[in-house]
Amino acid sequence: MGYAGGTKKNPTYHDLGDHAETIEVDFDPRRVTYDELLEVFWTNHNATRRPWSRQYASIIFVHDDEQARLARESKERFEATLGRRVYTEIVPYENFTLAEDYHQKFRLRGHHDVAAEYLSIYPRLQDFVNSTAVTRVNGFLGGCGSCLQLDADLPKLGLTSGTGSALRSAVCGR
Amino acid sequence: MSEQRVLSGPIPPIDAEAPTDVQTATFALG
Repeated sequence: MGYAGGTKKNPTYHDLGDHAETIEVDFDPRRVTYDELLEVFWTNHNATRRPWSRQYASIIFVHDDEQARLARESKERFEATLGRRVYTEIVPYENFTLAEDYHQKFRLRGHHDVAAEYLSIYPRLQDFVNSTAVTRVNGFLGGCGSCLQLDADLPKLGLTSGTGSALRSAVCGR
Repeated sequence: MSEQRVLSGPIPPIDAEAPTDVQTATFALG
């Protein structure tokens, strides 16, 4: 999670300048396509509402010509389906500033025992953010994935048995 | 972003078929 789309140097949450709150996802295209990620993008916010402010703009930052083409086509399909204007901008990716640590893996941070264990394994923020294990657990705690999937993943998540049990209770007990 | 970035850290990557072609998507969701 971070800030992009603006010109202000070194934006922070309380001094965002002209940047928008932004997420960045590294993905393996053999497992999930850019088109599939675009579907997730459209279905997880209301792109037909005029943004309240630049901070909450709807933007697709494209990394190359192929992403630009797919984004344009996806937006056209979405607008045609809705029959309404979509306010999403499609702009070239320029720079992305990682947000402050307390914004990263937000759902995980609400579970202090699990978060503390991962923060001790990954004392550097960049490593914590980039860990696939941390990302997976953040997703489970955010309501994605089943208890069955968690059980299959648990041995690979790098947690002690006690913390793994706490995670399981949080995910499977809801 | 690089493969190095995704595979960094002491816990092996989940779904450990090391991706050879990691791509990046960047979105602002309103």
